[in-house]
Amino acid sequence: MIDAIMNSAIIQEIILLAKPALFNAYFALASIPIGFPFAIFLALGKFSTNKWISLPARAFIYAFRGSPLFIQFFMFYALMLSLNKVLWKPWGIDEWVLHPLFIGPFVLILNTGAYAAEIFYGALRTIPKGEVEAAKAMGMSKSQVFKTVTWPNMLRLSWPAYTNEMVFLFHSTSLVYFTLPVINEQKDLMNKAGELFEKDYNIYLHFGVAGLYFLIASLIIFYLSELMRRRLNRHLA
Amino acid sequence: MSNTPILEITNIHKRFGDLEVLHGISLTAEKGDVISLIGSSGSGKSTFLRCINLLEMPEQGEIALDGKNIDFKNIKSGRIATDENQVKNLRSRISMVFQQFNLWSHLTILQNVTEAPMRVQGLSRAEAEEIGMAFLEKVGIAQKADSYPSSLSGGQQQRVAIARALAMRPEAILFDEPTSALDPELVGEVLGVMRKLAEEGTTMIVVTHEMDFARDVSNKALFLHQGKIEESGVPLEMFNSPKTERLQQFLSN
Repeated sequence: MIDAIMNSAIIQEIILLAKPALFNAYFALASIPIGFPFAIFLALGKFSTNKWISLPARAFIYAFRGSPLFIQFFMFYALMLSLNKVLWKPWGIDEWVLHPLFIGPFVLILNTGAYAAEIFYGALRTIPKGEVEAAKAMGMSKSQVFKTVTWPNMLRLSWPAYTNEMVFLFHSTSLVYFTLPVINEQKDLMNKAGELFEKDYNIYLHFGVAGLYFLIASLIIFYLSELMRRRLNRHLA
Repeated sequence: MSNTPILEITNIHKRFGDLEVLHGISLTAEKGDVISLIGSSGSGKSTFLRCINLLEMPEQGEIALDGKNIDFKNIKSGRIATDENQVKNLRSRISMVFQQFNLWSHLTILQNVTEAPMRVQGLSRAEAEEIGMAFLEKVGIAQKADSYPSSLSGGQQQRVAIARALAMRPEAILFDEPTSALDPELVGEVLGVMRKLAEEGTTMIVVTHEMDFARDVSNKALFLHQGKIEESGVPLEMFNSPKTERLQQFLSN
């Protein structure tokens, strides 16, 4: 009985795609923790009244929200390759700088940074002005006002939209190997599913199970995010 | 004890764009003074109050706390304080209570009261909570210490805001129309707390539409009209025999 289940096509497929799923998980887990603070800096930059800070932040956010991620991967890979002779090789870091496991998260960080920055920027604009003023009126410094009022409100207001962005980012990891070279057996879900598909054209099995991994990952993100949302909104319960 | 006034505000001018809303207003607050700022909407009384702790930056005029002037310098876009620390010091010693309460909605009542003393004055949590609870008791809301602002009525929220201001143990408190956003039946509880503070000798500057409070509780009043002090003096005399026609009109409304 157990053998029969274990030998079934779906279980075999799940086992086969487990290791490729780790690559998608790696791309997401390497990007989110760096993309998050980066996005906050960008958002604060765009929100700044100093145009020398605001303009570059706006330009960056516009460029990365305004162009397809697909093209961003291509462009960065091309850029990295063209810099190989003058920079990476002489510095001896070409091995890992040109590696998809580096460029993948690198581009994803820039991309999610821009998208999430716009989310946080939107939240910054709706922070209750009176609460900021009350903090100032108590003699708080700018950084104290940020800690007391701006940060918790920004996080709370932006959290549902940022959850979306995290899930989107996870799904975007499937684009990495569409544009970057696959090295050895380092294949992600989409590579592996595509490879299996070309053998037997069983689209439902291979892409269905690949999709299942994305569904599971999304479920985990939704669940953790919901815990966080409740915590951020506990004063409204 | 010296006779230096706590606050000495001289010749405040403030403009928004082309519109000058304050044309040279001065005020002196001695220890224990309760000063009412009255006048119709748009007379500039709230703007003037906000200039005192520099939430609005006046283009002209001096602000002295305990006889020490705040230093200003002119830059392209207007005037700024030379030393940001002077501003923080001023604000931490002169608290403020707002019309819309402006409690920090994500913090509990007790956290609202302890936040600034801990961050600004460097008190430990234990010290801040002891002081905070004492002031929450004073305004009669200690039983709500662990609630969040959204679960409180407007009157309760404003009393918390007063406790938050008191917890800084300030030399004076600015009140910006503290009862104007309240339902009529809740005004009394807030005014009651303010009366108690006045009796205890708290120095207060109050922008208010509550004429009974201005007359009975404050010892000085300024009547503002179109950004100028139209009349000032002892409230009882002002209310009983207004010297200017404008104040007569205002009081008869």
